[in-house]
Amino acid sequence: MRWEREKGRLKVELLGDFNYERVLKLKALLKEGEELELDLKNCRFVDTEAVDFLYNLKLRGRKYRLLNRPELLERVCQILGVEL
Amino acid sequence: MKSEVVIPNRVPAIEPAVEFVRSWGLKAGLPPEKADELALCADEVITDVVRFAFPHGEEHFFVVSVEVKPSEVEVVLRELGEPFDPDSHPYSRERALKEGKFEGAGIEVVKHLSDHFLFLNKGRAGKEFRIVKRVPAKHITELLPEERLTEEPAVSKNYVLKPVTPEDAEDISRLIYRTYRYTYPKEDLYYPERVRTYIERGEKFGVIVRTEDGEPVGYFAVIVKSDSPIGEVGEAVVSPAHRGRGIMKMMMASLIEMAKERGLLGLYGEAITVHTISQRVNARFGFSSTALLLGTFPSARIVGIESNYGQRISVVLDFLHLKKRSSALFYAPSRYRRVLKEIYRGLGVEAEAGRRRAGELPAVSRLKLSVNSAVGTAEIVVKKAGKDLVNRITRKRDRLFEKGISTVYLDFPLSLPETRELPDLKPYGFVFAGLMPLFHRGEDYLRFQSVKESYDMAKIKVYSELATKIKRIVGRELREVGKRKG
Repeated sequence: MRWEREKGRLKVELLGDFNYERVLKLKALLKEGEELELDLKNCRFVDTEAVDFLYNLKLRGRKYRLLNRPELLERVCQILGVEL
Repeated sequence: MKSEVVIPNRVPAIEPAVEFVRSWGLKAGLPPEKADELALCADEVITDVVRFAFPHGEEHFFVVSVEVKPSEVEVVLRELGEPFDPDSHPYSRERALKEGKFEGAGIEVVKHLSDHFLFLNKGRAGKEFRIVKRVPAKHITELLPEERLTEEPAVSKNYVLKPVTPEDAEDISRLIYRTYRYTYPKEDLYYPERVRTYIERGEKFGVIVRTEDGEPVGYFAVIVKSDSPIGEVGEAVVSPAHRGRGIMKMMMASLIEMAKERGLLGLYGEAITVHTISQRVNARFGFSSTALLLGTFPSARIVGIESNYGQRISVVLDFLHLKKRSSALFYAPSRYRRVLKEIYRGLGVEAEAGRRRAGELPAVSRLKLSVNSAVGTAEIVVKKAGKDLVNRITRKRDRLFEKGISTVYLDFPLSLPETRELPDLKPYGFVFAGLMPLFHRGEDYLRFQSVKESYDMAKIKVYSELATKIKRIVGRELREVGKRKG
């Protein structure tokens, strides 16, 4: 993944599908209180480990922004009945 | 076509394994978005196995295999990890929304994005996940207008028979539709792309008969079995207006010659028992009945023959040896030896029951499972019986029934003395089916079957004397296991 930090925001471009391995990397990278901007243009899917990660950020009031959401993410959210 | 990889239970191994599945999905003809759905299903299951199947810190390996068929892609994951049942950890939307806990979410997604999902707990032999994704294709009715599909060609003075080529695919689908409308049990034949793929890959060969004007009026094909050098005379059709002109006879004679040229050791036909027409055709060409297979196809309305059949369609297995075989040695439980000898005799084989006793059974059986979710059947081949056999096969069968499978066939090698000492399987719901000659790896198998629904034996019509004997045994045993109507 490519990333940079800018004014309290972590900007990340994933270079493959958003899966458990990338969730672990993001968890290690994201600092307390930091906003997350995630570009998903290279993701063909976002798996349930990633949905779990993102939803729990939301639940804890952390701010994040998803760019270029893959179509399959909407389908997964619909199946699980959650919004990201 | 089947391919498999062995994967360590390490997080970095997840993505390459998922890519392996995705690339085979694309190769099978899935559009990219469907290949992504299959890849996501594989990712969910592989991630669960890597994270939870084995004790933390221990290195283990598991197997992911992909089987590509013209109509579907099947991904099978097998592992020997700790016991786990996904059904006891269902996904709860409320729990996810309120507590952010996503337990069971992966399997929930797999169930929605796959066309068929099956989890099998095999006890000491581990666990197995099966994911099926169907390859989309255009039905013949989407490709041609109704008048072109139903127009019956005029009777011809002469008919021309040729081996089928991939270019015949659309005409074959058209012929099937014209003759059977929507009721032919082999669904793939309505999809020209799938027919073409089967022919291109050499998985089937056959003949097509045309009128002098080039209109297709007859088709007959052999489907080569993937695990044995035999073929099924599986797809036969003659347009109604052209029947009684020797077309079927002409096609069958050609197919037998083509099969011999290809080095096949035998041909078999699964003749439906709604009527005895196919059985009679097989008998005329020297085929002999060897088994009665219950519920091989879903109940269908067969055009012009039966308006409401009311139970799944059973078939008689008819077999023809293409290479001379005069004797055989087999190991079977004493209660079936007599009928097996008679069945062998029908095939022109003098068979002798072996007397060698089996050694001590291993703790774990080796089984091979194939599921045909499109028609609701499954086949378990016992490669090596072990002490856990009865427990394994009954658990597997129960699980398959829960998942919508209606008939489970169970094959035992007649070449192994262990088969001679098989316990009576009726108390476990398995009844006799018959002999499956040369059916796996060129060897003979004794087949049993377990059915979910009950059967009215009076509706099962058989032609030959041998088939009548086999039907009597099947009917008697079905009554004993409480699966016989009337």
